[in-house]
Amino acid sequence: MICITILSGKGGTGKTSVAASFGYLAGKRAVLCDCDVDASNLALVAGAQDIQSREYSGGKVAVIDQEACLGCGACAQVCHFDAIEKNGSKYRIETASCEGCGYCPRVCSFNAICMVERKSGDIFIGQTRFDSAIVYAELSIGAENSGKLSTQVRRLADEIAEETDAEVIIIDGPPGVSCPAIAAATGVNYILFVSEPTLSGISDLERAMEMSGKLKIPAGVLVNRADINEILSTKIKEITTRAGNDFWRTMPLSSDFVRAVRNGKTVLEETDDERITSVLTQTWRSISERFQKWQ
Amino acid sequence: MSGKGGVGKTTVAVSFATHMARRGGKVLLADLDVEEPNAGLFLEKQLIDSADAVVYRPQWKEDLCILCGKCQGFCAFNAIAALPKYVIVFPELCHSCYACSELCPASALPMIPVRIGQIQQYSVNEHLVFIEGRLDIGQEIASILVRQTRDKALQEAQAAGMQWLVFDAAPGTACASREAMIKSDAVILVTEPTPFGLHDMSLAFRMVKASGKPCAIVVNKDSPGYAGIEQFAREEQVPIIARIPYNSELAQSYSVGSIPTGAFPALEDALSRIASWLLEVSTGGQP
Repeated sequence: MICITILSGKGGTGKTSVAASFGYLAGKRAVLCDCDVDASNLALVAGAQDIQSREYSGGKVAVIDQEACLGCGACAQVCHFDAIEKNGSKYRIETASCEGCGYCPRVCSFNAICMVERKSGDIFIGQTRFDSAIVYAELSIGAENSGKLSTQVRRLADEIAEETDAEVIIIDGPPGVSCPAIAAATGVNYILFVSEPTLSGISDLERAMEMSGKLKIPAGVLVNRADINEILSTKIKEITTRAGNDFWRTMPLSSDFVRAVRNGKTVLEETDDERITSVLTQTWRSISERFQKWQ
Repeated sequence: MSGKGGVGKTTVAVSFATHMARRGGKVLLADLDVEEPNAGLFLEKQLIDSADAVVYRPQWKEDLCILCGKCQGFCAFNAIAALPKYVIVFPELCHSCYACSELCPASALPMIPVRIGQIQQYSVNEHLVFIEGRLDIGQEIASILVRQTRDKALQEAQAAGMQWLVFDAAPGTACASREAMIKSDAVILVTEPTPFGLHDMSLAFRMVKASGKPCAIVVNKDSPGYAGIEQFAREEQVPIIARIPYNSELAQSYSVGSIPTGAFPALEDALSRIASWLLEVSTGGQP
């Protein structure tokens, strides 16, 4: 079984459109996995039926018993997260700011503070329109996206792939380069970056490739909307090759992407433009064949 | 903020900041998307201050340690292993809560600064100051740097008597974007007319709604054929205060790091509408 993550650095370059298209091409041989847990969109185009959900709690949160609190303020003095505020003559926890470190109950002389489980999100498992399984999540409002929920989503996708003898896990990753992106990329066989020829796109791609380089994972780049700026597209090719990564192909700017999303379909199902269909099909074939040969 | 990435947060934040500065306002723009800071690409600017951003993490002092092993129990994040003869700190798991350091009976775990990125301050022109937080690659926790950059911007804005403080927030709906929101007086949700834009914006909206802050929607890359945003705005009673039509020339201009608002009347118009709404909200009028 192989595992491929779609990333970009910058948001909105077309990660989900590419991941969903690969899911369409792979059909039931794949498990789809959406690791962008605070803005999860893959299921909107891949479809998700017969959904099962489970709550996920990661970490704890402090609660101050207002009856037992005598308002001494020792807790507020030790909190480094500004999570404890005055509530009349007592103190209370601002839950969204609490890091769950458990320091405050240790300094409370009146045993007024306890640590309780904090719900950090829901994980959903469903079946796509392509007869594959899909795993995705929804982070609770303002919860810390430490990558723990993404890691849970990946673990579940692994289990399902194992049980169903799936050949490939396709992971739709989050933007950025910190913990959530690292959680989506760690230990996968290949990272495909979807980029765009803008200065922002290039700056973010360079940072993202530095991250994948540190993780020592082979990577490649697909350029979306190449005709917005051909000079910068060529520059992306240069920096990709210089970083030792594969430069796959370029796709043109096309309103077919937006139309497909609006119709809840993958772009492959909605477009007749061969500059898009052939690029996605050939890139998918090349990447998956490369790994099948190695297995 | 936006929820979804790539919908135009930076375009709106930068062009709004420059628009207000051109009109004589004193403006501070802060890029709080520390993982992928891009606002600076659109500004001609001069560096006036640069500082390392640090977090404090415990460092084990063997000579002071009495090997009581309590530190391991103090840590809720498994970042400390107290072995019979050693104590090991795992920095990537540490949340800088200070519990181990301050509760250690032998003071053997002093907190030591560790660089996670940098915060830079620039002058753009006499009306516009720009502050950027930039996370070092390989650092896992972005929200601490978001908080530090935000607080630096708040201090500067106060000290310099700024009229406008504009935060360009991170995508997503987790704490990195929340940190920007909670210190704002009003929130502009930038979105695009697709189910992705709607879905992610609605998650960001839930967070803003819970805070009770005034909030409005700006539709970027607008094109006919999708009514989802309007329906959402009606149901949730959030105003759509401006629309910026999709424009391939603007996209090309953006690609090379330029947003010449003057050349795009529709954008200019949207910025004026945003300013009016913000003035209305700040003077206590009906949003």
